Amino acid sequence: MRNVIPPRLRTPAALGAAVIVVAALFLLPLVADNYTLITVARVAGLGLLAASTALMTGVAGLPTLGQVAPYAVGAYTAAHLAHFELPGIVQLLGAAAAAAVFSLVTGAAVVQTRDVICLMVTLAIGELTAITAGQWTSLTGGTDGMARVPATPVLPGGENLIKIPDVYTYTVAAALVIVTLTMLVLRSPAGTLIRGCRDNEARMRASGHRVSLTLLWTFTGAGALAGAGGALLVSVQRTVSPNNVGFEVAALVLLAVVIGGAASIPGALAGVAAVVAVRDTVAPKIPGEAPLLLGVLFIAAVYLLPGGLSGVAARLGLRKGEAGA
Amino acid sequence: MLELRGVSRAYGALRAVDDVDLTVHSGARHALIGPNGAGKSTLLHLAAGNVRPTGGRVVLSGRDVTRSGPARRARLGVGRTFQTPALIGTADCLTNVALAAWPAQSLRERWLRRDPARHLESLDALGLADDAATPAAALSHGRRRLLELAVALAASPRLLLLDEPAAGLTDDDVDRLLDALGTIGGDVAVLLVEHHQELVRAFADTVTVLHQGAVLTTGTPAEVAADPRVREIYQGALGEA
Repeated sequence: MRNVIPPRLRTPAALGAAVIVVAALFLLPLVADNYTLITVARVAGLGLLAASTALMTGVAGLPTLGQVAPYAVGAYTAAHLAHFELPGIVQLLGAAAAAAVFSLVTGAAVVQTRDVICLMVTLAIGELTAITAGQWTSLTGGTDGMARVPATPVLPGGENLIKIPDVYTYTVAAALVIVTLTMLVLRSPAGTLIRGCRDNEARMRASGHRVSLTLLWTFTGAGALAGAGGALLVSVQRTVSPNNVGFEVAALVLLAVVIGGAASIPGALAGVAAVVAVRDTVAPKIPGEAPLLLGVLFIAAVYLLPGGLSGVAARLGLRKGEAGA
Repeated sequence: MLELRGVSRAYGALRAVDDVDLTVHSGARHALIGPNGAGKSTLLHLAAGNVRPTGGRVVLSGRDVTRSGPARRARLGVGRTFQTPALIGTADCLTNVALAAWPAQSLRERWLRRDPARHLESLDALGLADDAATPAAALSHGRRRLLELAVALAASPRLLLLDEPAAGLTDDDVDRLLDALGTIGGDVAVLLVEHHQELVRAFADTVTVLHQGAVLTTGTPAEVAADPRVREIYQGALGEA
């Protein structure tokens, strides 16, 4: 029997690039100032939100503007758990679990929709969540949000996360572990199943697969991913307010995912880094024009980078095929 | 195996399928023919669960499945192909077959992919072994049809519904299709919609003629070919065209 090449084989070049990026991230505290570190740490939380959006939009084929909702649930859950002086790892898992439950409930409606309807329904869920966060003052602190979230250790008995290099290392390491786990799941048969539902529902149903159920589990997992991102956000900035989980964030992240190449998790992370870099470095020099700049970036990406950053990586031989993972 | 009892499907005033009774026995090789617009594909959709009937019942092995969707019916042993081959475009041929076999497999088989050899054999039976690692979207139309048949067979169905399996195939591929159809187990019922006369004659033991959504006649291929009403509607269809 001939040796069959497994699909989407990871090429040595891609593995090498990943190693270099990870090494650079962990060596950054030796050379960078605290401002840079805190910016990159913020990107870690947003990156998980983007990965969650890419998972739904590109891999499962349900375009979404609503992953900020589980992100918000995760962020507020983590903030409350921090007030109980529970360690960071508990905040992270608790946030992911709460966001997963939230997504399981809302997903029942979302997985019945497709395309633009799905975009609208998820937008509504995201907006309602942000409004709820602004109004339910007893739980969320209202529009002021929850300021002064206490610093906590990562593991029970550890040192409180106060020094910026420590905060940076924790958030980046946590984000990398979670992203790696997500990509492993997407390379497993579970990932094949999800992409199958995206590519041809009629075939999947005709072969006996329960498409809506698969999409519901995917939505739940994507919710957990976003919720973990919310927890990391709180670990970095030690506050959370409705501004952190509003429409602007949802649009920014969808832009990042499109720039990254929709179906690619590493692409989504690179997209977030690119968008935040533009927003924080170029935009302050032309005050008030940040949305315009992001709009121009978006159009440029669609025209100049078909397939997004991951499409460029594919052409450079870093990635094989465009099935996405 | 499959019984349609007084099944109807109306789209507004149009009755695409009108009060059809059809029985496909276990092991049958049953062909469904008729001019364009006779309701053949709709009838297949009704049998597979892709379309809900507006009247009548669908019974599968004595079980009423009228309200069940396609996934449920697939798990009860219905396999099908579509008029336009339905495949997972970004996945290679081997993965397409493996995904189809999945619901019938144990958890262990699914996750550890213990048995690619079996899937490769089913590809080989349709001459697709060389394309095992080719994404389905990159195949030619004819080979996509053959792959879809391999996919439908991979789930070991007890009832196989084929919607024009020979359409767009080269003569070589039709021969390959006939060979593959010949290897289908004697206990599996096959219901196929087909225009390819030779294929119907070579394969079917029962032929049902549909006309304007209703059953005109059912019989052996020879009986149906000799029926003057059948000649009339086909000539009529040709005349209109």
